[in-house]
Amino acid sequence: MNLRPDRNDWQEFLDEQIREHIEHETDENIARGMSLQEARQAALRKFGNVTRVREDTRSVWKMVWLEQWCQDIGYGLRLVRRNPAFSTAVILTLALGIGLNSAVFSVMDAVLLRHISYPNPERLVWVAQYDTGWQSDQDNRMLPSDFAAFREQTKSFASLTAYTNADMALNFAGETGTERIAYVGGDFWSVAGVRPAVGSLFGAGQPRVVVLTWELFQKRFDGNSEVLGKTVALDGRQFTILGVLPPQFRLEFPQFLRPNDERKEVGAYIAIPDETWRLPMTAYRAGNWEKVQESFGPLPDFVWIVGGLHRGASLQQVRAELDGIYQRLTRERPGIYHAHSALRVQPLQSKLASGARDAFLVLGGAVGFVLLIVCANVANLFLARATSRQQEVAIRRALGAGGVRLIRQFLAETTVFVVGGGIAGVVVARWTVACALRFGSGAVPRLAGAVVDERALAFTAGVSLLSAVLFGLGPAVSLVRSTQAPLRGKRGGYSVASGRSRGRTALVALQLAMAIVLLSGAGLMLRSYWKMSALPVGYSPEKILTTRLSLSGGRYGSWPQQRAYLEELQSRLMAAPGSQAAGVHCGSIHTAIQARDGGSAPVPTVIEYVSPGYLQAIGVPLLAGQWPDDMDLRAVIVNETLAKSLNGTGDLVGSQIRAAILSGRVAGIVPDVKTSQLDAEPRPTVYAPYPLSPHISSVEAVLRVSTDAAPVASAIGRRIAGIDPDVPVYTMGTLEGELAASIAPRRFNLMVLSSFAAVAVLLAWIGIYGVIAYLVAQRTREIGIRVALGATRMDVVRMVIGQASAIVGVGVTSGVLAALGLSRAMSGLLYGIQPNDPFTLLVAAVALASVALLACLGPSWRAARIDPIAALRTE
Amino acid sequence: MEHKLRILGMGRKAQKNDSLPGSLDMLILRTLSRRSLHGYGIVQFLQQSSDNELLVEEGSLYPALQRLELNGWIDGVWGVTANKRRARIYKITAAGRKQLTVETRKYTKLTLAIARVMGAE
Repeated sequence: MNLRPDRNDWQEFLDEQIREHIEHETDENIARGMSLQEARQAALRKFGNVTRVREDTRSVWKMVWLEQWCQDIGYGLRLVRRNPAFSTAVILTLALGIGLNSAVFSVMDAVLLRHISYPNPERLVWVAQYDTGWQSDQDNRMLPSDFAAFREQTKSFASLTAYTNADMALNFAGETGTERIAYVGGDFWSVAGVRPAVGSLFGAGQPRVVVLTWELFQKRFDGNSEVLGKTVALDGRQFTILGVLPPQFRLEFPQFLRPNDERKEVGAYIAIPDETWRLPMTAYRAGNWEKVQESFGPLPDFVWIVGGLHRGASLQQVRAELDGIYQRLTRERPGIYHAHSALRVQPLQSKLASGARDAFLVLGGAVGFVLLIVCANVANLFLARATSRQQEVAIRRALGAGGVRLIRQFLAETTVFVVGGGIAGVVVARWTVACALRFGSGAVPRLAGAVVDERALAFTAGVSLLSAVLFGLGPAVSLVRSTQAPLRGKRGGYSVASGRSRGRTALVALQLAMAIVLLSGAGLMLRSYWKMSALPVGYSPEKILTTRLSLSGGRYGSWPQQRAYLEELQSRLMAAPGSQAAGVHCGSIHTAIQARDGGSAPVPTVIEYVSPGYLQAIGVPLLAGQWPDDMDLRAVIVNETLAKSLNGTGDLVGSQIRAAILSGRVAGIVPDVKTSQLDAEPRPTVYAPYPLSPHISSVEAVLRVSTDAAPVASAIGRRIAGIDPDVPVYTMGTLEGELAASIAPRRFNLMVLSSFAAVAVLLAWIGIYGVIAYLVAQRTREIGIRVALGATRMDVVRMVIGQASAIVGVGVTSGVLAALGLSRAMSGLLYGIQPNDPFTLLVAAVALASVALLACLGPSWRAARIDPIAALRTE
Repeated sequence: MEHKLRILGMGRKAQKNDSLPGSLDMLILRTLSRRSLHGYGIVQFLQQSSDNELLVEEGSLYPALQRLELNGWIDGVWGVTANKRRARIYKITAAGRKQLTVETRKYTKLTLAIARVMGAE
């Protein structure tokens, strides 16, 4: 029986037929009397263009090709439906791989890699000051006079801008709401490269005007351009609306955030008044600041500075220049703000990325691993399926299917999976990014701008789908080739299979290893998180209510008014039902403290201006000494760390300490307290009476209640708001919530890494299940013989599990070794735990090994139930 | 100048000569229904049977044969011709005979319709 020719055959046939045809014609022509050469030429001429004939014939084939392709796709779809387990496994694997990985790429891109949208972002430079002694990784704002000095004296900057932000009460048409307002000065508009959508932008220092963002314009002003020229009240002072910025314009520089401030977009911009730059240092002293604000309007006390370099200037040049100027300033004006401080000058892009870099490198590694696991899984699944179809392919070949045709069919089936997996992957990506935004955007800077990035999607889709195609086709090709000869028994398949099975078991071992690395990473982070959440004894933050409010505006310009408000505030807090202690916190300052007798060197310290009830409200016990009297303005409390630094053995209580703006007697010593940043190192701290605070504008009130504070929070908030309705109460929550928020970035990282680990475990589970099932299928004959020769079911199960354990053992061991090596990269993210922590590794290894062995139970059970007769008959 | 009827196969546009597109399939099937032939033989048969009126473009013959074979209406086997040359010889299948009747009917309807138009006032 002659089979229908396939495409290659037809090419051959056609060429030969054409040749014969022409020969025939030649013969005829010779018979008609032409010479050999003439005859041949005449025949060729009569035939016509041989190439065109071949092309025409080929185009017939093309149409048929398309038909057959559609047939194959239909068949592929049917196959998918008929094997739901396999199809789900493949599509799920692809979807998770593509979706998760591109989601993380997109998030990484938004946070780490995305450029600033202002013009020439690579020339923008961040200038900030930091404490050389303590918390040197934290940037502090600079004095406005520093900015003025830089502006006058540097040559490397083409543009220089200063900015800060403050939350203010915005009152328009009788409605008040809290908005984040940015003070901007210098060349801000030209650095941002923005033009107004409506109206105009203010010039440097233009007083009493405000520019709205588009979003605020829509929200509070209904997008009505009639509001141009009208006035709004910001914290009680009148500002004229000058213009509106275009949509999507954001302040892309780092915002000034206090520990429990929420991340919020800036709603409007006002100009830093010119007077700010010329203020003498005395203006910042206690009592003077309010007078300054009264005469000149709201001024920023400190600013962030960003500069744009000249085209030819380098970072080193500008660093040297700025350092020189700063040292000169420090010499000329020694004072609290310049002691122990140095300048940090770095490209703005690296500043923006710095907080997140470690985390995202680790996460990038996790992404890479999961992608590898996905490819391995896909490979395994397809290899398994190809082998199980060995017999089917052999039969079809024997019945006359062309090798190419079969491979094309495999390709079509693979295409169905690839397309399905791709679509599912896009869905997973979108959904994952949405989840990340919902849970993470409070924690991670700039996350709010994350969208699914097409490049990431294309890359991960490309990698995963390419591996699907490779592994869908590879075994198909070798299968088709290997079954050229007529049907053979499984014996023929053994030699091919054992080589292939080594590859597959290696793949599974690799998957397990990578899953271990991910699991142990997640475990380490989980333990860090646990340690951070542990609190000192006696401290129950859920019973402590905290709220922040802002005393600003003309009404609170001077000390008597502020004191009146604060005293009323404290008495109202104490009067609240269930209250045990109440206090206020009115600002903090970084400075250096020395013992009065001048023995020791100055210690970099933070002065927290509080009321006596504050520490008691937080629940901090006294270690030595006693609580100072309300009226005693010379008594201070110090914490353990400061006591140790100043005076190792002797008793500090009763002795005098001094700093540039403070001198007092130590009344008591308290232990170190974490009130805001859970993962911060304890700093030497002095608690001084709040009337001494240089400026009281932002106040934190604390109340300790005997019961759970959360339910009464709003009631108390209302009572406080009742003191003065124009002073909005900003945040009202328990200390517990505040602490939790401070470690929110870690919690986010933990969640992401844990979900990766979970996915990895799931995929490894699928992988090992598949491979063991396949190995069992391969050994069906052998198992049948063994059972026939007297092996019990337990023997069979032991055999299968034994084989599985070998694979799991290799995988887990290499995973542990890899984890030991790689976890060093994570040490920046950990807290209170070593990267090589053996306990975590052990737990991860045991967990994964048990999961893997559990996966083997199914196939081994089925192996044990193999009927030896059926097994031997399948030959 | 002879106005030979050139039969064009698929894939070619109608040229300045007259043509009856689509009829090549029918003619080939008819030829093969009489006896099995190879490609060159089909060309010769058509030429001779039509008294040299029908000149088949050899170039369009082979695509047509391919199409007929793919549709299962003819079968090709390798054989040897009278001149001891190896050639691919085609024979019609049962499906092909059925298709021949269909095509013939279609063609007859067409020519009758044309004749009616031409005959009408």
